[in-house]
Amino acid sequence: MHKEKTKQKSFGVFALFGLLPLLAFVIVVMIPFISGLLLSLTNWNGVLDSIKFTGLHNYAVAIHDSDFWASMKLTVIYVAFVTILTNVLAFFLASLVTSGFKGQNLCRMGYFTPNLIGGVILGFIWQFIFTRVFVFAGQALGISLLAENWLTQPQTALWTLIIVSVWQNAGYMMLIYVAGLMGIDQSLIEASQIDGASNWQRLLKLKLPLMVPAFTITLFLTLRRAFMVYDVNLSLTKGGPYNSTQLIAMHVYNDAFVNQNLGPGQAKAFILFAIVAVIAMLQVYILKSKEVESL
Amino acid sequence: MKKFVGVIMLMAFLVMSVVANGAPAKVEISFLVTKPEIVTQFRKTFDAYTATHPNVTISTIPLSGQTIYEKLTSLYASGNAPTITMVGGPEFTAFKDKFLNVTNTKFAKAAYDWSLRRTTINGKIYAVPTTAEDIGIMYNKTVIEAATGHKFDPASIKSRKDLRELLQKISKTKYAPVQLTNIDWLLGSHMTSILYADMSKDYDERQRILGECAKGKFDFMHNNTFNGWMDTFDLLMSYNMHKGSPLGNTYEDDQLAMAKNKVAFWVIGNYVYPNIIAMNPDAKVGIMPYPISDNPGDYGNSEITLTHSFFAIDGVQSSKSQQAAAVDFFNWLLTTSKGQKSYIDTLVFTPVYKGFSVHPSNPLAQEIVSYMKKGKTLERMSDYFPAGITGQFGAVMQRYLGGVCTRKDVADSFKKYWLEMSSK
Repeated sequence: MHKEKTKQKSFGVFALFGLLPLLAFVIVVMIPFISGLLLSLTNWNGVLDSIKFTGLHNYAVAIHDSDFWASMKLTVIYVAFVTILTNVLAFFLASLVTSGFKGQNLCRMGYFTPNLIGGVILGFIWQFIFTRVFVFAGQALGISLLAENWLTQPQTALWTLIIVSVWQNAGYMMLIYVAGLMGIDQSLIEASQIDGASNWQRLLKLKLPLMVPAFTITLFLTLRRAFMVYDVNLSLTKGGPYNSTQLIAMHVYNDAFVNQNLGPGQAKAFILFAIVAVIAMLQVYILKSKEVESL
Repeated sequence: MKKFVGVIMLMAFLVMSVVANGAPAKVEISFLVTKPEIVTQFRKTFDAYTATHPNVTISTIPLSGQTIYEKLTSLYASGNAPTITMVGGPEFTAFKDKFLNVTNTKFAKAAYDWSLRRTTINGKIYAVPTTAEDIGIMYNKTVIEAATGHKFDPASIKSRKDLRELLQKISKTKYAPVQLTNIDWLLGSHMTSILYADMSKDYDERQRILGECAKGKFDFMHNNTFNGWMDTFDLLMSYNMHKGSPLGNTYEDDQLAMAKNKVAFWVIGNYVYPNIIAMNPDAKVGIMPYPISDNPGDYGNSEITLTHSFFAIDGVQSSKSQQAAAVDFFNWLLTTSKGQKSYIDTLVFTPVYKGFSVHPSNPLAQEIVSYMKKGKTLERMSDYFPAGITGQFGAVMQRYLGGVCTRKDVADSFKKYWLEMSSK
């Protein structure tokens, strides 16, 4: 391996490749993160000139807010469905577009496209579909489930969010699964065929264990995206009907900026961060331990 | 490398020399425009001003999708406060300590006294009205006249009884009598504003009632105004064209139905008028009061709700010359004929000011002006509400509109949210 001869030179290389990104990371992530953490310990409301240190008061307010937990519960339900459905669908699509049928590349592109559309626009498109297309089709065909506008009932409105998120994310996760499936050594597949394994056995005993690294990534991405979703929530339901679909990110934003409770809002954001961090790290830790090498 | 350092030094030198030599008369002020739909019109107005005041430059800060509170918080925190800001009631409360006292300016004296009550603290005025808008029941003259066969005069609806009779008549024709918009800001802020304004004719009494609400002591369920206001809402709900799925119609649907002469009445404000006219230039619509009883003499049955946001000048971070330029801009805009022309023709605003030599030409604005002149206006009470409560009110009213809660639930929720949101 090539190595710089002097310390000065090796620092030069580091400065060229590492220092700038590190600087950017510190400025746009670390400093706001730390100052946000500090602000959540004060009574600052965005306007006051004198800032007083109030300890964990904001966190106490946040924890005692029943709306916060209601929103959190709703978000957990949403995340659970989105994570499971996205990955099942994505894996299915990935298997489909690697099965070797004619036109699979076109399908690959088609499934991926929703992910290229921004969440806000996606929300508006689906709002139109749910309020017009579905209702029209439901009335014309006499399907009572579709004839009603799904966005007007709390239960169905949550499902509209789940459907749109799954539709948006599945294509992206599919690409990762495709990479995982293509990465499986062809000789292993052939060996299993010679040994007389059925398709089902091949999937469970061979492909799935070898694809655990892909699952680590996709589960992490879907979990994180689902917990932090805001754009689709905003443009599709705006938290309605009657605040029944306010997911946690929207709740935090509204509490901080609409209700003007900057301190408790900030505290809630950190609680959310902690919860998501713990879940994501657990998930990565567990799946990492399940990864196997194909040798 | 040496060359690079040289360029930097040269640039620094240039910047410094500009700062040092810049004539003291040159002033740069910034304007936070919180009505995103008319940023262009504001720019044109600034151009008209700077054409005769070449030493001043006005830059526009758009809201760019943030809330006013969020934007102002970040601007003030970073030391970049806009010289001029447009705020609503809740933001005024939050930022009032930062605003310049404009009591002795020419433009503040031109405003109607009653329009300054919200922004007067200890006898000092800290913000002035922007443009008059009103809230009430929109009527479609074309539809009503086609349905009844008579000429329609909005003044003929003096009470809920009159409205009920007319709705009944229209419901027998092919036209829809009423539509109700289910958006939270309309139900929770604009409509509830009517409720609290109708409580009393007296300013101090209304403030006392809000104080009681904040302590959670106000009994809505046994209040006549609340029940009258709900009775009218019930009446409108029973004739609502979207009765089958009252939360299904979108705001765009409603605008289209009104513009295309399909519906006679709609609880809304004049702010929707530009959209209606854009869809149908011949639309004959206007705004009338939201009646709350069968007795024509009751307060609120002949008044419309007048509402406006405020212009405020920064008093802490802007320099003296910037503040002076801002004051001069408003003197020009509101008290000179050239400025008034921009105000009326470019911004298409309705003045809440005395002594305008130019008058608005659109019929809705003229209607508002005539209500103002007669003193038949209700105060926009939601300006005094605690932040965030209108969203909660809106959610409760959506539930009621959707038929999932009772009047008692509405009364209880109002009481509960007042206490909860006031104590935060």
